[in-house]
Amino acid sequence: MDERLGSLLLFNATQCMDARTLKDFLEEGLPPEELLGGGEKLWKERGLAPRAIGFLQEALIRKWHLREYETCLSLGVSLVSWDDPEYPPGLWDLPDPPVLLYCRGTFPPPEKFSGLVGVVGTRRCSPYAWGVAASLGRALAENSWGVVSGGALGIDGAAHGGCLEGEGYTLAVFGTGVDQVFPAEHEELFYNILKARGALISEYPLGTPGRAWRFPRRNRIIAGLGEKIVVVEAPRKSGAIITARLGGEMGREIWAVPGRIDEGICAGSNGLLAEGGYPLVSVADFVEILNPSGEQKLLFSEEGGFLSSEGEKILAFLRLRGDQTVDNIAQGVTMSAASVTGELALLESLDKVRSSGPGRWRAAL
Amino acid sequence: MQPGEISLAHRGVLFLDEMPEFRRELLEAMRQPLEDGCIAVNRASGSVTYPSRVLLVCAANPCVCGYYGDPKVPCRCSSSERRRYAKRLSGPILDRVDLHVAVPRLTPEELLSEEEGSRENSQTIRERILHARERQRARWHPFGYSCNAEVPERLLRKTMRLGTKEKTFLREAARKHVLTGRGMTRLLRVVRTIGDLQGEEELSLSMFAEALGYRKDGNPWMNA
Repeated sequence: MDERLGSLLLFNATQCMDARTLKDFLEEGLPPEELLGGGEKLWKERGLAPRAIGFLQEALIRKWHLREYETCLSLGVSLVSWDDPEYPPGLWDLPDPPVLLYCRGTFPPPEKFSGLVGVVGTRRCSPYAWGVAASLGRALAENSWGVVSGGALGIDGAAHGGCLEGEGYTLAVFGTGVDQVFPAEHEELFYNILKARGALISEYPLGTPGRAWRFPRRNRIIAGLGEKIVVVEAPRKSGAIITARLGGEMGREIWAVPGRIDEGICAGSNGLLAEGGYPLVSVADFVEILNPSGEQKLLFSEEGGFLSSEGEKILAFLRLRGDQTVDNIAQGVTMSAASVTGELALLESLDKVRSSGPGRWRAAL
Repeated sequence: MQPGEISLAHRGVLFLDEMPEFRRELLEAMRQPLEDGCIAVNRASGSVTYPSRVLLVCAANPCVCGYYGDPKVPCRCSSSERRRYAKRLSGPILDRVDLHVAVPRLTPEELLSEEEGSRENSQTIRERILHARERQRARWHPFGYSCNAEVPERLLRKTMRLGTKEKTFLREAARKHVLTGRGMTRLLRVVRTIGDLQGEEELSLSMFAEALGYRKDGNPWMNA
């Protein structure tokens, strides 16, 4: 490992140094390795926090950076630092771009993907929002866009999962070390992301555990990497809203999925709309805006092998009326509830409808 | 040695309300008697075999607070709480339940929109069931069985001739919904029964679809 990378690992681990400061120093003729070699006097002069100085002194004695680098090698974790050509340019829009990123998988995204869309929202989402996030992830994938999100439960997981279903590129930005599995429920999802040539990245050193205060900070990376930010569902106080605010400050387009006005769980995303965010009222239209060439694949082919005229009728009814119970559908299309159940199973196997909650159905987006 | 509830309900209905509230071991112990139709009770004073051919009916809430998926009231459970609650019912037990029907809580508008008299009354349904039962008895009597549930798998499959369309559908369903071998046989029994309820000997694709609609298959909203 060269001295430059070692010093970057160390400065990054202090968590109070950003790439912009280091870049400014370099332009003044002070590269990071010389800043590190300067010792306590120079660090103080350059305004490093006492906490950071304490950390650096101890870490240098323990040769922390050498061990960290070796662990990265043994785990197959690659490092992308601010002075690498692979460093995503979008991160420079941040006031405090990360010094370096720990990456597992394929990073940066392969060129065949048009770009990344940040899809974020609450962990405790409604089944409806879960379905929207999954459809959105899938539609983006099918139109050669990647999905960047936070790997959390709820909306994040649905968006990543939908993207994998559409065989797309998805990137999870961790608020823990990239060697951690947090939340534990997502072990399989993370495995699938790596298997599908996506990536897991983080600015935090290996072994960093999950702590609540790290996640809002991590969100700025999602805002920096996403060319547009979609908030699917979020209450007022939520990491997703932080992501959207940061994104907005950087000039990213902020989209939000409209939610019911009498529910706190979407008060934050609705608030973004009130403040001038773009309303995402149709996944197909959103994707159309991303790829205006009109070359995008149809989300599903209209000539499904098993689609009967009854199925068409149910689908038309659901498209018109939204979320419905089996009994209401039966009444609406004058069929027996039993045959509606059968038709719904057929439609579901064609991905044309999805269950939006116990006993409730809606047309797929 | 007293027979238990499952034997007392022999040839009748055993109803377990709030199924996830039962002890796990108790539910798991029901697997064998449900499959075999009889239960061996072994005690120090000896062992007895009691019959246990029941129609099992169970009810459960979607989560502890009961509001998951409700269109109006937000659920108060965390996703791990929901997962834990759902896990109280093991896969093998759920696999033995043929008809899964999710009962949504209706909004006041939906309750009011239900037209009076548009529903079948119980008398008509009862007659249809009796006819279906009679059809089954007539079909299986020569083999010594009285209903679709009792017929051995081999015989069932032999008498159900499947067309190519139905076979493709089943193959797709097994792939997509992760049907177990037992699940597939149970699905076929339900299809046969749907046919009997409609008074049709010939089985159609829509019957297969309906039966599949009743199977539990990790609904996507359960993952949220």
